[in-house]
Amino acid sequence: MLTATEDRLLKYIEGRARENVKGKAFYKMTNILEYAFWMPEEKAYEVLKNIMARKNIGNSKNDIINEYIDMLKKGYGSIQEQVDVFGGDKVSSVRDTAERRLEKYEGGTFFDVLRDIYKIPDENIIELTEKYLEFLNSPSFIFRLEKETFHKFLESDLGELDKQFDRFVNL
Amino acid sequence: MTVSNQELFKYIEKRAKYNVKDKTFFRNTDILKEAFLISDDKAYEILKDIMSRKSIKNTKEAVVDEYLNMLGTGYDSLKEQVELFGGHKLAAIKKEAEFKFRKFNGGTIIDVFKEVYNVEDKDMPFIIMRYMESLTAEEFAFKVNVNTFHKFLEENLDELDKQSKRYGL
Repeated sequence: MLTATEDRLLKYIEGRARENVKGKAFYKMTNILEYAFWMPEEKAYEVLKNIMARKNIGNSKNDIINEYIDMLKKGYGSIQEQVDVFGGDKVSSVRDTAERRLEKYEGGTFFDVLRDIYKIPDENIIELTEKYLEFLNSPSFIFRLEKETFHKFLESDLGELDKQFDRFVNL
Repeated sequence: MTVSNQELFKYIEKRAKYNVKDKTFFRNTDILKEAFLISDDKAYEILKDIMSRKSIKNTKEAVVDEYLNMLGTGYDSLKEQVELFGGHKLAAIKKEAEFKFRKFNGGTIIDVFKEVYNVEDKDMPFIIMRYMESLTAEEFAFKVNVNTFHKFLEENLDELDKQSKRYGL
């Protein structure tokens, strides 16, 4: 059984891995593993050998990624280490930094929050706001722009998550 | 004044001030005509009435405020004044929106604007930015909903007029 954190991190790894191979074509199955999980060639061979010895899987990008995710889930490798390979748990890092900075927030508009707390440059504010608003759904006209849904949005959009992570790193 | 009269009065006040904002006038009757969309004759009559009772300053604000005062104390019908302004637009918009929400199946705020409020794509970024600029909160929790949006329309008469036009009211 995975803990809630492991479960979340595994989903994060999965999202990241799919993003890493998106729009790319590969000739060798090891290349898929190298790109998706940022692993060295040697390790990719090792993982692939392990898979082949156990079962027959299709050779699509998705088949390989799903299989390795399943292996991580079953304890083949450390979930935390894989997250570290991807540069750490950016979702938690962004959340924590935002939380700390929000303590000093004195009120204002949503754009003040984006500018002052999240350090988003003016030229990116409209685009980001539209993406965030597209992410929020409601059966009627009731939306709450708040940190929980904003962080969920960043979690769902790895490109924006990376950008936000970098903004906080460069403070 | 009853609650609904108070509401009408506030609307008249806002609309009258909005009508003369950033404009300059040579004659006091012109101020009244422009602010309250009344006829030349009526403006003269009102001004005569004012002059006979008291002396007020020669400014836009003083003239508009004095007639608002008179309306507030029953000089003329608030309802008729609102009709001169083209009716109570917010009430009409609320009613129309309610009707259109019945057919709304959910979605994003952009879907709401498109399907319920008939906002055109080209106007979308502007209305979103402006509406969201109008919302403030002590923490990162902003309420984007039908009430705050109608409040936004109420407070920005140019947006109210635009919405009224979108509904063909």
